[in-house]
Amino acid sequence: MGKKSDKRRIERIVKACKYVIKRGSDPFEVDVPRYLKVLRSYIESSLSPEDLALDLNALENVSRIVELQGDWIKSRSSTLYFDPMLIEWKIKSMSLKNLAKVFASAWRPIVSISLISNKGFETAANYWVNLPPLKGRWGRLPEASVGTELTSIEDLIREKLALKGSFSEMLEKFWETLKKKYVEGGVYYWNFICSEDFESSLLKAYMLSFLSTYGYIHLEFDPSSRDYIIIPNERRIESENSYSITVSFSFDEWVRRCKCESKEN
Amino acid sequence: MNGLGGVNVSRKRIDYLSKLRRAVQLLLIQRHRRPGVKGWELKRALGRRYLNIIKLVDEELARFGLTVKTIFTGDVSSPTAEDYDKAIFLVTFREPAKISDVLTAGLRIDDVGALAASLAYINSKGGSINRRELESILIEKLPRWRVDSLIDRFIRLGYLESEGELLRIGWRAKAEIDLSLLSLNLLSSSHEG
Repeated sequence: MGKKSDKRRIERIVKACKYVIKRGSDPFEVDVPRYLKVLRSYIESSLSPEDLALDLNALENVSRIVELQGDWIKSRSSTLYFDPMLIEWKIKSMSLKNLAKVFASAWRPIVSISLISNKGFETAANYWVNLPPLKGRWGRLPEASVGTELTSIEDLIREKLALKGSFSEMLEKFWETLKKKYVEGGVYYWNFICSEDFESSLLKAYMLSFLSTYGYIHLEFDPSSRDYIIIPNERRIESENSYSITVSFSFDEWVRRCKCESKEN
Repeated sequence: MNGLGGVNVSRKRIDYLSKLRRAVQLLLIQRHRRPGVKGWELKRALGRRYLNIIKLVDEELARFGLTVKTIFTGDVSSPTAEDYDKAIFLVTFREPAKISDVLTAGLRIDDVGALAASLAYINSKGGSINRRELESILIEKLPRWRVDSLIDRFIRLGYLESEGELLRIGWRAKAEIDLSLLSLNLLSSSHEG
C-alpha cells in the first residue's frame, strides 16, 4: 500500500467522523475499532510532522465519536428515554397553542434583578457632573432661518421627493416588466427585488406588495430555493381565498440577501 | 461561662444571617451577561461551607415559591466539591409557571409552542441535532422565514446553543425547563388541533 493512499485513507476517516459529528446522526455508524486499527498501522510507518499531525487530527475526531457513543448509550439506557419518532408524531399532531401549554407545565423561569454596576454608575455620575447647563448648550445652536425658494419638478424627482409620472403608470410598467420576465423564466422574489441600492429594492418590494394585494400577481413558495416565485396574472383576479404573506424587509435583510449572497454566488 | 457561650452562639448566628443575606444578593442580582453566580464566586464570598448557606437560602426562598437551582457543566451524576465550584447557581420558580406568565415574558404563544417542540425533539434525539432537521419539524406549522428567525432568537435567548450546523439544548433551557417533564407532558397530552 502506498504512502499516498494511506494518507487518503486517514483523511477519509477524519471526513467520516466530522460528518457524523456535524449531522448529529447515530455515532455507532462509525466503525471505531477498524478506524483505530488503520490509525495504528499508519502511525507505525509515519515519521514526518505532517503525518503525525494528520494522525492526531484523526484520533481526536475518533475520540469525539467515542464520546458521542457514550452520550448516546446514556440517553438510550435512561428510564426517561423518549422515542424521537413518538415525540415527532405528537409535535405534528398538536397545535402550537397546546404545545405552549405543555411548555408552561415544565417551565420554571429564572428570577434575577438587573442593576447598574459600580463602574456604570461612576461613568453616569461623571457624565452628569461634566454636562454643561442646558442654557449654555442651547445657546450654541444657530438660529433657525426660514426662507422660500423655487424648485423644479425635475429637481424633486432627482431628490426622490416626487415620482416620475403617476403611481398607477409606474405600477402598469412594473407589471408589464414582470410579465416579460416571467415568460423568459421563473422570477424569484428576492432575485427580482435585489437592486444596486436599498431604496430601489424597497420600491420594488412595495410595488409587488401592491400588485399582489389587488390580484395582479400571485406568489408560490418554492421549498427547494426557500423563496417565493412571482407569477403575474394576465388580468386582475379577485380571489376570496387569498391570504397574506409577510416578508421581512429591513436593511440588514437586504444586505444579507442582496449583497452577501450575491458575493457568495 | 454560660454568658460567654451565649455571646459565641449569637455571634455565630449573626455571622450566618449576614452570609445568608449576602448569598441572596449574589444569587438574585445579575452581575454578568447571564444571570446566576458561579460556585467559586459563592465560595469566595461565603467561605468553604457555602453549600450549607445555599441550602438555608433555598429553605428561605421556598416560602416565596422560589428555589436555588444548580447547573453543572457537562454531564454530572454524582457531583464532587470541584463540580459545585464550577457549577452555576440560579434562583428559579419552585413550581411550574402558568401560561399567562409565559406570555407576559415577551414571547408569543406560537413562539412558545415552537420552543416546546424544539426542546422536546432535541431532548429525544440525545441533546443535539442538525439545524435542518429541526427546521423540517417546525416548517410544518410555521412559515419558512419565521422558522429561521425563531431558531436564531432561541439561540440568542440561551434556550438553544449552536455549534456550526449542530443545535444543542442551551444553558437557559437547562436552568428553566424540566426536559423530562416536558417530554412526559407532551406524550400524555391530548393531541387535538
